[in-house]
Amino acid sequence: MKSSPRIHIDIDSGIPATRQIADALRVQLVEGALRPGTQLPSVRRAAMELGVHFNTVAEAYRVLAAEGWLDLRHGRGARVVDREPRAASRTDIADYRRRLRELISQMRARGVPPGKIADELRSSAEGLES
Amino acid sequence: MNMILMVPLVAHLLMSLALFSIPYLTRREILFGVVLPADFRSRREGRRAIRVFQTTVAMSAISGLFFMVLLRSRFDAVPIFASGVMMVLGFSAFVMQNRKLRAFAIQPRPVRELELSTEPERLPRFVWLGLVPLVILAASAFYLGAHWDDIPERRPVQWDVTGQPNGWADRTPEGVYGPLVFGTGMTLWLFAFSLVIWYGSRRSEPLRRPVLGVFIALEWVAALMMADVAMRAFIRLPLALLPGILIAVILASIAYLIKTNRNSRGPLDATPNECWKGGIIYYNPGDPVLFVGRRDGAGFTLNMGNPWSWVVIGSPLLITLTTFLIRP
Repeated sequence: MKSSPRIHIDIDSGIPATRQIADALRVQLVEGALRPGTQLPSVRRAAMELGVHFNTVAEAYRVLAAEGWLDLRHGRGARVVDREPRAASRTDIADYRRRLRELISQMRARGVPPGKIADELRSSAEGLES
Repeated sequence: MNMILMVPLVAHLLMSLALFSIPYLTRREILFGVVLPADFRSRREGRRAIRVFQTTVAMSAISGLFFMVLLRSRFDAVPIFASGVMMVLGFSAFVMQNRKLRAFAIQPRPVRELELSTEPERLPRFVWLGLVPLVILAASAFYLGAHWDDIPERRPVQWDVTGQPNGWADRTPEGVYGPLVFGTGMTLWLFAFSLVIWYGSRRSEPLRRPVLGVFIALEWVAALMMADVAMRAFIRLPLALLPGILIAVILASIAYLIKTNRNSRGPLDATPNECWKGGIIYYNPGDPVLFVGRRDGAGFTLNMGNPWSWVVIGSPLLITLTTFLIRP
């Protein structure tokens, strides 16, 4: 039996739990592990398993719904929808470039060699294309 | 040795054994409710903490046995008092060691996992065995109704530890069916409670299945005990059967916990250290879970920060209230 995708959050990481949940789900959505039509766990169950407040999960689901990934209907939970790719604006690309540079700087500061960073970026990008 | 002494002595020994084994009920990294480095138990401080705790338990257990043997014939309350003092001293020693060891505590990274599946979680198949006790009670009620005229006008429904009757009931609907109604209440409560633990705890908790099994065994004991009381005029269960099942459940639980936790390599308990009061009470209003795995290893405890925990605590009052209402 194929196992379901899983997400992890670290309560002590300093990154707000809402963002961690939304980011982790977005990775699964972009990589295709969560396909259109997939029903996500209820807010109550997700909150209990992750040890966070119900509102934290609900907010993460709302963020993804606003990005067009999820359909939230009262009483039906959160369902993954087919999402047309959107063209990124110049401002968006500049913003992502800045965030990437920040992330790469953090990796360099932690001692990750440039070659390893390049490999990681390449394999992540290839993972998204497959 | 007479029964007056043997029953409380066995109960006292069982309790002392359970208390004594507390340091071994949890995995290596958790001691007296504190998460510690894996090698802490073999350090001087770790060995000392276990030694002090077990010495306190052993001394209070032996003193209790001594008082029971000496004073039981004079004072009826001695066994309860002796076992009660031992429990209080044991838990005090636990809390004291918890406080001492906090200085060495480490906080495991609170990483939690969510499986992105909406498949309803299946209860273990053996859960249906939890409904059989209700069938036993219903069958007993049916049998009593069918043999109403054969039931004695007045019969014993309560016995002391020697087996001598000290409570009686008449042949009235309350007197005949009362024990069965009480048994049904207890059985239903135990069954409901086990399901609340199942659905109110995280799926990653390793003790969910065994605890469900223990509750179902307790249901059987409760139902057989009450059916035995109600059906005494027709059938008698062997005297040692029910205490025997209880002792077997307790010993099997202790053995299972020691065996499982000794080799446990899974992720450590991710609940925040500061939310554990004395290593026993969990209070975390930010965590919506209702039941969490206890840090002394013995099953689950309520998250007192969840308002529903008070409803769970109050639920046995319903059983007590029922008892008073249907008292023969």
